[in-house]
Amino acid sequence: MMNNSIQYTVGIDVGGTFTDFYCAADGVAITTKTPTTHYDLSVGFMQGIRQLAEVHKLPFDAFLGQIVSLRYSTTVGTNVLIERNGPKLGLFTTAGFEDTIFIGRARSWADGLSLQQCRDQARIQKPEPLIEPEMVVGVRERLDYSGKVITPLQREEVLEKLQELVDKGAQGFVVSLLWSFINPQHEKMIRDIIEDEYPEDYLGSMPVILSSAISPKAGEYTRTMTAVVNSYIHGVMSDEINALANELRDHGYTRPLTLVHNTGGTKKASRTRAVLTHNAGPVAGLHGAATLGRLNDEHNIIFTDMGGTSFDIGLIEKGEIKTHEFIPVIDRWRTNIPAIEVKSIGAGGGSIAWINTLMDNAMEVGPQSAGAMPGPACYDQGGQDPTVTDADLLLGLYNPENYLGGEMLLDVDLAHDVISEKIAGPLGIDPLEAAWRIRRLVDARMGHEVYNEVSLKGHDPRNFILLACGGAGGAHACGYAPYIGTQRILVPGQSSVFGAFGASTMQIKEVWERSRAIRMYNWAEQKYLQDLAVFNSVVTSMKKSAIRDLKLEGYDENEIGFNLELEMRYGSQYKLTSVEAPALFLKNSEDVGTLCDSFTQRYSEIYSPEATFPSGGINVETFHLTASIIKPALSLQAADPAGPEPDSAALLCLRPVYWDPQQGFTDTPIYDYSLLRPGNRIRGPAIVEAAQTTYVVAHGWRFTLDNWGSAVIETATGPGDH
Amino acid sequence: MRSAMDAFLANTPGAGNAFVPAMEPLAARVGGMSYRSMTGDPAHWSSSLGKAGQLLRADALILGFDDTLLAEACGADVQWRDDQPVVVEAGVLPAVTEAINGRLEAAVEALGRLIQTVRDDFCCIAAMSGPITLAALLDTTDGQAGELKQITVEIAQALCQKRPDLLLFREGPAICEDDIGMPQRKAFNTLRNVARYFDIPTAIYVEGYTPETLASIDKLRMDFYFFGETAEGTIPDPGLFLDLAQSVKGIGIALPFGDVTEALTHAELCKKTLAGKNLLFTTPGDLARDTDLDTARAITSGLLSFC
Repeated sequence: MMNNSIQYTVGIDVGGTFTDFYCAADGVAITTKTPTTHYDLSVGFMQGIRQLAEVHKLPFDAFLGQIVSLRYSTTVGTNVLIERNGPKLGLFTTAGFEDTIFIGRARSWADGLSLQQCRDQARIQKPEPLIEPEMVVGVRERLDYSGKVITPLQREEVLEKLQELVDKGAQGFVVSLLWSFINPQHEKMIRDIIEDEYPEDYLGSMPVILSSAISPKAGEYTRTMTAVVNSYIHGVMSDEINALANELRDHGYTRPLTLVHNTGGTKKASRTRAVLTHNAGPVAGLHGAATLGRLNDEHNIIFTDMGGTSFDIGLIEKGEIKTHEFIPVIDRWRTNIPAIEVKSIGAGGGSIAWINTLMDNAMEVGPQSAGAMPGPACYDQGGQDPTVTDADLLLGLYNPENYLGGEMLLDVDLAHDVISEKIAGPLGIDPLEAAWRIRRLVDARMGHEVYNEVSLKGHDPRNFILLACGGAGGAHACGYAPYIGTQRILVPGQSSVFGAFGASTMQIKEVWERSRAIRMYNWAEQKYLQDLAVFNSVVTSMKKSAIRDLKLEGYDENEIGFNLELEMRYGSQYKLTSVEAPALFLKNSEDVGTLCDSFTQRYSEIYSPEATFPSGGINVETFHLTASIIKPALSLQAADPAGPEPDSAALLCLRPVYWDPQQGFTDTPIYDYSLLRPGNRIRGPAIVEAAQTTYVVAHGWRFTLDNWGSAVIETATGPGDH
Repeated sequence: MRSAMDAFLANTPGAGNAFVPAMEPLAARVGGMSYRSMTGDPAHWSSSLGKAGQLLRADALILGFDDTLLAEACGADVQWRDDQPVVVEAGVLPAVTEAINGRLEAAVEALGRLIQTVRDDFCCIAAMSGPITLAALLDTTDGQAGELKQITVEIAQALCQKRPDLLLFREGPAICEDDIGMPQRKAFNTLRNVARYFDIPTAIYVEGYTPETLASIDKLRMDFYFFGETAEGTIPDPGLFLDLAQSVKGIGIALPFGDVTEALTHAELCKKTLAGKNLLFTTPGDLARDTDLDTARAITSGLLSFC
């Protein structure tokens, strides 16, 4: 039935293996997945939209015309960095600091490498720089720490260096000068000179990115690298996103394309900085987790997402996404964008199992992934390496005819052959045992990573529910939960497209930052900050910028909500701790005291109360003002509860499943998710097959469907078990 | 010019029947060079094929229809006789990473150029030998099947990366030697999955077939099926394809290209017999270099008048 009045909201998340789509209208959601087309992401994007149109029985163009919001978390920028196909850039910096980006900061040679790779220190290579040394020029200029001009910039010198870079083939420029985050005057002068020489109406017009505009924060290496990374991906991303937006418009989409940011918000593509789109997918998932947590009255959540390529981990405490990661590594580069902290490791359904001959033939899983192409061997796209999905299939956990809702037929023989040849043969074991070991190993890896992120950071996992998302999350949650120590798992009904669901829940939001060192508490004088205007003037100026920017996006000042986060530290210490400010402005010394107490509490949580160091004094170093547009939350319909006993039709069959080598294959009940009703309970071992995911309920666990279509999987001796 | 072929690929019968000739040897003549020279030079290959397409008013252009291309890339010894490549002896299979070599490398490059230059006017079809025929040409053993599969996957990927409108597998009599069973289905399944990743539909061009083969050929699960001459070298009655046309997305039938009246009569018969089905017309194998251009143009003009 065609319905021309329905308005659709669509979230799209590009993953390493699949691109996920979540389409909601009037509380009803439809999901779909397409293979991620790395050769051209727009192909998979349009394929998915077409599939959604077919499900809604609407012509493609008509469906696009009825979409009111399209939120897209893209990996275009990530791909540019992986493929190193950005433009040749030139960098202007302060004379004498030309080597800053090549020297790096601390052990920057290891940035972006996995722990495993870091262990082999002798072989670690510094990454190829995004800007070649010959493309960096120094100009004589100097500001002091307060932004006062000590040595003025000389136009003639800039012109000379500009010509030098142009002659060497520069296709764009980055300008990053000392202390420009306090006073951007010299950076702006260089930009004006370049634009005078190569105005927009010239074919040779080139983009100029200022570090003070991208990242007005202290730390010349991270500030410069943030601007460099942004410039490097800017052009390609702008071309691809514009082409996609044009294609959408040609087919009837009338609204702006919105991009998901790694800072936890969304903005129109036309008003997005490229660097803020990196790794936005997992952040979207974390936002979805917070939304789902509110629906389920769960406020402490360990978010995990096991997709085809990576395993993402995030934390929500007391309903809030915990912290920004203030020095995130993008590719191999430290930057200082205020990205939400989501840890990713190379473990997923497509992770390749291999024998490490250097480690006495130990079996390893990942971090390499078979990706979408060729994918696991059982996808039958020419893959020759055994993966976690191959192992799961061989063990009987997956139905080869029900993968991706039957869209992709899996070949068990191919899975058997590669596991036999590459793992079982060299280890001299049965292929089924090899598959079982692959599964156990990847579960252990994921479990330990989560443990590191939760328990070792001062949180008690028993107070958290484990949210298991991703295409493979439901199939592995019972496997990795024991390593964490949680007894309750929530697998959302939309788990296989959870990033896309999360994107649909995100608000228009941006973070404004500024570095200013302000002493809040002076131990020697036992006094809190007296001159509150120093603090408040910074917030006022950032707030003005935020209001101006969001007004340009078409929002009214009254719709904007603000939140202030501060990076603070004890005097003489290096490490910064992020603290949410109780209020935007300080009204009196009591407010300053409350802020310092918040810092002390957070510091104690992380490093223990004994580690506090008030005698150093307490400083604010950087301000982060988040401005967001408060819109009504995505509505979901709860179903009416039924009894604990599933309908007999929901039990599809008994299928032999290999749970462990002692028991071998055991006949296991297989349930159809679509025929289960809220409140239905199933004791493990059992398997519940949904259109796009499989729930594996292991021995000792119990599955209950909740009113939102999510599976609550608890230990049989866990809470609520009678 | 490509609209009829677009309609065929979209499975919207009634929008006119597309004409899709295989004609690379003839294209070499149109381009004023030998077939051997043309297939050694991507620029000449793509431009000659484009010119030939305009001359014959084709709706789609097929590049890489020559069976010896893949065989040669897979190590077979190919000799040239009267400007025709002939496989004289199977050789050693190359490493997968070296599968795209020689004339096949030129074909991949030519396909890219063809797509960039003529896509607005013509659908572009990438052709490659089907896995059964290739295995027969190379005389491979069962032990080499896995290796050959990897090579064909690599080649299919290289072609798909150029984003053609259709990936066409050419199969000869070898496909009729056994019933179409699991090994054949598996061989095609892999290639179909590769093409699907690139959002490219697949087709098979079968020649040297027997009527019995048709009963089970749809097990290969291709999107489209094209038929050349039978094992007896004839073009069969279109009624033979009636059952198959019910179960597949679209069907291509070769026309006898030696005689205008015969070709057009057969085309009319096909349209009548397969009325309402998604149908296109093709050629029985490659149009040879010495094809009578006047006759060919008369046939294509005739087709245009009633298709």
